[in-house]
Amino acid sequence: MAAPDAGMLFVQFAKVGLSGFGGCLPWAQRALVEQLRWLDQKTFTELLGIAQVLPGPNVCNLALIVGTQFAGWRGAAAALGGLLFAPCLIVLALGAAYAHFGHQPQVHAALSGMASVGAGLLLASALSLLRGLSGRWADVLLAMAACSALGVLGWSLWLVLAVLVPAALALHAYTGRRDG
Amino acid sequence: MADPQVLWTLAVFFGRLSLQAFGGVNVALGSMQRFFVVEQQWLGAAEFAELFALAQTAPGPNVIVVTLLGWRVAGLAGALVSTLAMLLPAALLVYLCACTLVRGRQQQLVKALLAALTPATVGLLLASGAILARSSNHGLSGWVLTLVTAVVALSCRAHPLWLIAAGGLAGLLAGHA
Repeated sequence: MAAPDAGMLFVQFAKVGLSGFGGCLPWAQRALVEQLRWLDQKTFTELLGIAQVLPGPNVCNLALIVGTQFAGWRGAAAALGGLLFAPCLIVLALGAAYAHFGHQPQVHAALSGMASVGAGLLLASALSLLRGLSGRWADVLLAMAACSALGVLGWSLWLVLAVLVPAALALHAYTGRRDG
Repeated sequence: MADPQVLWTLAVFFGRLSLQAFGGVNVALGSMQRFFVVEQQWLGAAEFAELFALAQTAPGPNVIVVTLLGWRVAGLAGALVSTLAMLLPAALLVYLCACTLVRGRQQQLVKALLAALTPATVGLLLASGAILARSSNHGLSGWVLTLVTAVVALSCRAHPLWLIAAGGLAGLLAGHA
């Protein structure tokens, strides 16, 4: 498949952005690997890993990396811009509607229910990841520490990461040496 | 016209948050709630939760909740400033890394970093979920909804949008009860 230029990157990532309700990554995978065949699965997984260890939303980082690979900084800007411009406009339109109709008690009631569900979804994603840590008690303890540090002690994000990520690296290196 | 002081405060907050939000915006929701509701007192806890819910119903990456929050506080200028501040610092870093990508050699490092990040991410997500739940739930029905959602989401592959719509319906019914 011919390498995409900035224009193609913009259009295709715009499609990904518009299809991604509750998470764009599956759509990004489908588009990049299966439909457009710009990347093979192995490359996609590698780039996704890099996107995850850098700050920023995973799918946004992925767009930047893929865009850069194919078309330099223009590609990066096109991919990210494509991904976000329509969702931003839509969310602002929703905000305007909320400002207009938000005073009605039914709207509050419905949104409140949706917010409760949203919190539940967040908890589910956390618990699902927690399941993935099964058996590695050190990791589970670190997760609990992170949760308490932010929620109870009121630590800032960077402090939690600055303390716990090196701790995890050290722990993993230590246990790796013991088992290896 | 938007207050420049407010715009500056938004820019600084989100600019700093940008480089800390590993794994996405959701880990940063707890910090955002604290900033908007407790520190700046720009929004009530319930309204923060409702804006989060509203952003969920829009397509796209959920970083756009930042757009909505910025808009609510300072109009279109606030939306623009918040979104750009949240995106650009991390985007610049990612772009620089993408330029120097030599994939084969980095895989070990990436795997090790990912394994080290995951426990912290889990904890931060849990905390954010709890903080958001406290903001959204004003009674037993809210907590029931949250817990039921968590159980359902964990046990089957239901599309989140259905669950959110069901939550809206449940909220409407509970409101009339």
